[in-house]
Amino acid sequence: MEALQMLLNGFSLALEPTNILMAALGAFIGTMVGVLPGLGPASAIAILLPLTAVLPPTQAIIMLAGIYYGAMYGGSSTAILLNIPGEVASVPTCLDGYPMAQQGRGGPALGIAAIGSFFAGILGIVALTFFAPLFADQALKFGPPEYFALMLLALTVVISLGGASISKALAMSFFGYLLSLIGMGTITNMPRLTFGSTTLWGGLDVISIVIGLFAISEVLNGIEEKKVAISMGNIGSVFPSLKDLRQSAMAILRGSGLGFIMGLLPGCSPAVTTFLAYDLEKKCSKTPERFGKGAIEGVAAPESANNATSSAGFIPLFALGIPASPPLAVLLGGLMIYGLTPGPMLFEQNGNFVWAVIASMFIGNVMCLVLNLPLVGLWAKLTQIPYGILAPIILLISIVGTYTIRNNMLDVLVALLFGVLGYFLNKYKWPVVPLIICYILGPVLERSLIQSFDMAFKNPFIFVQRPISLALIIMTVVFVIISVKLRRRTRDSIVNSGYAQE
Amino acid sequence: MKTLLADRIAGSFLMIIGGLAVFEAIRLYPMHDKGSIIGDETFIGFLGLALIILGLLFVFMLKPKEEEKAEFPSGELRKKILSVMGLLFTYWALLQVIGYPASTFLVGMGLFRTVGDYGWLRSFVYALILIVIFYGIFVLWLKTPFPQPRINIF
Amino acid sequence: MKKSIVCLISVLILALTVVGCSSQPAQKPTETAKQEDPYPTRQIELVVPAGPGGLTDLTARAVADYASKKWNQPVLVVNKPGAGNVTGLQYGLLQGKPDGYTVMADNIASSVLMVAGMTNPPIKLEDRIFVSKFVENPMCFSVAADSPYKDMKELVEWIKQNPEKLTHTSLSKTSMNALTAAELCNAIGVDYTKTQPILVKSGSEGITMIAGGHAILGDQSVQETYPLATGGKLRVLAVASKERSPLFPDVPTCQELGIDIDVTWYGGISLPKNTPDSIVKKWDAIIAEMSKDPEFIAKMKEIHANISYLNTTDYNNSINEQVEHYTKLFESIGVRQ
Repeated sequence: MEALQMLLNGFSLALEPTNILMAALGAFIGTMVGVLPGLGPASAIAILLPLTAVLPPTQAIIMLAGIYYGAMYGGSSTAILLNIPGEVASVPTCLDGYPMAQQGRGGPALGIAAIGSFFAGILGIVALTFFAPLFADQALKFGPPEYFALMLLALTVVISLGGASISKALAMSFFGYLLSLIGMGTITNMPRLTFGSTTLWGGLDVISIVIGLFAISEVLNGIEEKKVAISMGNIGSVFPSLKDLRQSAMAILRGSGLGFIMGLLPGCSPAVTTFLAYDLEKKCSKTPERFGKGAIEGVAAPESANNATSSAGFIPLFALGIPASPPLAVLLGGLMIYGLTPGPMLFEQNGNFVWAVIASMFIGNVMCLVLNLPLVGLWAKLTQIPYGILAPIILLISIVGTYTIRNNMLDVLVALLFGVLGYFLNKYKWPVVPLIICYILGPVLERSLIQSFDMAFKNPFIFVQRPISLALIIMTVVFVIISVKLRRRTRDSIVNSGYAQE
Repeated sequence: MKTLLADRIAGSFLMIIGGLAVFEAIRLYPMHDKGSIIGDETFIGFLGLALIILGLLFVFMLKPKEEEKAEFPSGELRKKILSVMGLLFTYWALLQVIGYPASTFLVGMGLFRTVGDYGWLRSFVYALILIVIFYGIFVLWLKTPFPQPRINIF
Repeated sequence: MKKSIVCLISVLILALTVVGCSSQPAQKPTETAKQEDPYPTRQIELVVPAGPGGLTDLTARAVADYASKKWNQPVLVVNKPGAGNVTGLQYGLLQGKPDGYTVMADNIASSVLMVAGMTNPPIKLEDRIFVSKFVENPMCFSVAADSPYKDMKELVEWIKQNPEKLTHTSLSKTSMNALTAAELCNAIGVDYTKTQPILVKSGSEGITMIAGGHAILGDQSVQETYPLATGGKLRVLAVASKERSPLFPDVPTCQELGIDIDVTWYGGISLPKNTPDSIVKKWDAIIAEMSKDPEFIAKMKEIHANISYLNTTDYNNSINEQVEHYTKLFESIGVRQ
């Protein structure tokens, strides 16, 4: 129980009043920045890193941890209330969170998102405290064939999230996949699908597509419906009812578990896990037809998975020095500036400091939960702002948000084009979620397939010769069968629906 | 527009996109490394073919289950939607010419006017408040490196 | 009543804006400014052709920090990732005005290797002025901790016998990693084209694959190798530079082992072509000064970077030499496109 002793020491350091203040401040600033579409945890930390530089190391790191969790949480509030996912990982949250908000249950949706995130975050930190080296070793065994099989598994999500028509879902998936291949070729490093334009060399950015398809097209829809405000009524109490809690308890557990395991793998972003968690929940549910129409499990599962993945990402970061996602890469930069070298020696070399950081993550999580309760009043006001004022603000912020991803005007144009495209896709019930899923998974799938063939000297059986990838491939087959069965069942119970999008 | 017709139009778009992809795959093929199974063109080619096939299906085979009409706004509302889209693209162009604060102010004013049906004066005041706040957040605080304007207004 | 106040206020604001507009051009320095004009007088953009978090970004942030304190003007790091440096280079060198307010955090991969690896590179050497070099990061060879090769000699023997079984990771066919592996093969008399490179997206993806045993030879920089090596997941066999790395004082250099190679990643500062000479000199002077600043030295140590200053002349000479050498190398292994 040496770890526990050290952790308690860490707490005594992290619980000093100034440090608590820093955690609260970080969580608050993080939430504020995270609310802006396009500004996820990575940009929030990168932008605010210089601001923390004036503080002493412990306080600065505590503040960074607060920003990290706050920015992640901020993204889900706009996803739920405005149907604007600030980042890709929040897209599944929109699917049920926004319908809930429209039904006047935005409060419980926000509440369950906070509770789920909190639970998942704590789980991740507990595992980090006691089992970091053990888990990290397992993550190393994941090679290209395993990633390929994992991506195949994730692709099955398209079948169940694709809406009513499978051919439309397939068309959108292929289109999304093709879009993701724009840019430099994986093998030759020569431009492909750029058709002579050098601006396209860097490819498109998925966040600009998400903001176009969701935020901008949603505003266009709202204008057309002559919306007066997002919700005139109250968004409801932030505390979920006992029934809500009972309904989402298992979803939180499953989401956290799945998110945690996948978060251990460097290169498996929260975007992938949230979609998988949402889909898994739908598969486990006795009433899958409720999904997409305001099922609280549909908010609880992806939100817990998101935070579990993000927290589990600290394990390969601290234990091996491998950042699993862009926000962690930036955070790694921040840690290094303060003289921390992540890696197995971290705990021995900088003991007290590290434990203070881990303790401050606990506090950051608690802060996000505590902070969110008073903020709900603010969110409630937000949904009552006249649409004529809110809509222009959303549009203008979306545009700045897309610009800040890569400081690139191309991304803004892409967001606008996809905004218009999304408006028409909505009209004719073409699902947009498959496009986004394939856009995220496509490049990893291609790269890991190429890598697998290379490392196996072109032996195509490598995928079934390695136990982990074999297991994943079997799971893929099982998932496809379940999804197809589930489709039949859902089709019987509801005749027409594009549950991917309202 | 009837859904069937829309699906057929979408089908032809899919075929065009698929055709472009196949074309690109053929262009890339000479760069294929003889030693490897997969080249940069492999996925593009297969996706292109799949899109062409799906496009053909949509044009000739598939029929939507129920014949429903997608509703598009007409009259004033259509004008409103179109002008919002227009304003957004104008914003994209203006941002690079007259810089962030000026273009945001102008487009913001236009958006308040079209979306909210506010009078010019009110739109002006709202846009002014908006740009002051945005300037504070994005320029002063977050130090966003916006494109250098070709014409400096303010 | 209320309305008239709103009216009045808005007219006032409008008037102020107009005044603001008209007074602006007067403050701006005229185009025909003399070279003795004070520099810098406003914010400088330091363009990083990669996302935040990498070594180019971290070192650029350290430079920005130092320069902004010294000059009392903000130096803003602008990340323009994408297309293997090309997006950032286009922004910084081709679109940036040559007035000294757009500065490029250049490195060997974005300059020398691009020109050596492509017959018609999108950004050429002549598109920029190389000001000075300030940071260095040697490449090194490593294997997984449970690999059967205990030292460089054993590994080299095995490669000589089984070149076609050698897998190593690389960012592209003409990346630093490919270069490192190719130089090793040349030095020990093995045909590089027989080996199997595995293309990866980032240095950390590559080094993780080595540690997990998915590829055999690690050819990353010491900075990328360090975390996993200190954790006992990797065995570092040799450093590819002339001198030993402070990160691995016990690991021999290749030259000590009789393998005559010297491959080092480095980064420096570049300016768009046609930037006035006085500004180039100012940047060179501040980089030279910075390389001796104890605070900067401490910061670079924390991010595991070696300070290595070269002035404008020496830097340009070394780049020209390298371009010639590496172009030949890439041509000989048939990867120049």
